[in-house]
Amino acid sequence: MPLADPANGSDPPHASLPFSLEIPGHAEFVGTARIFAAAVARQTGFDEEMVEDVKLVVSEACNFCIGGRTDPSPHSLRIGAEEQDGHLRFEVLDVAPQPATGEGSGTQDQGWSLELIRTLTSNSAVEAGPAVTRVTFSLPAHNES
Amino acid sequence: MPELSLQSRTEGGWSVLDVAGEVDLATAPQLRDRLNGLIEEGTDRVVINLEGVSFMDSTGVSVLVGALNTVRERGGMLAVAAPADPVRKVLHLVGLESQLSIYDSTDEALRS
Repeated sequence: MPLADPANGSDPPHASLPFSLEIPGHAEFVGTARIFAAAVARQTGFDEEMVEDVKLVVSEACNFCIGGRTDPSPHSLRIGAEEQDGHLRFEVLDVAPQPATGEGSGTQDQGWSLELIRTLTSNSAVEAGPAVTRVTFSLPAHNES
Repeated sequence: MPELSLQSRTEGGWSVLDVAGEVDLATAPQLRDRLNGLIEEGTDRVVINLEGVSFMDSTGVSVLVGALNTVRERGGMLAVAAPADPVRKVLHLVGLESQLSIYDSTDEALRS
């Protein structure tokens, strides 16, 4: 049963996505997110070079969500994916509310995370607020040369 | 949890750190601690052999940059050897490929 989105009390946006994974929001589980993302990418027909890109950007999205937290309380990350219009769209969502950290408080690592996501994907978006942190991005499901 | 193997040795006046596994948010602190330990021991010529690294994200890059800066501040040298294509791609994308001394093999780095 999907959990409620703490931001608005409704189902989380990717609750109905065909591929989804929920993991504890801790560094040691980011590898699990990569395994999930790689499996989805292969299922969708990505070649191994693109699978490596998918693993990297999903890892960076998880890093961004985990690295931005100042509240040590338990929380979860949800990773959802769907194939849409020839693209594989991912959403990484930190579903636990956290205190606002203020503008410009990101670390260098977080900056690189966003840079890598933006470089390797299209339609990337980051929502980092007091109630939810959400990173979304798309990759072409088949190589565009 | 991803596993990381770290083995250090001395060869030709260099300290060589053989790294294997995945370098990410969970394991990067282990790499950072080992590199800092080597540098604190007085090593000023370090080769980081990434031949066995199957995955590295920006947290690993951050460790490499920190080590590079520390070694340079001490007048030393740091080289990166044998990164697999995905690792080299990350270094390229964050703009570090030109700042790091990257070699195709540890032997090549040791001859530099």
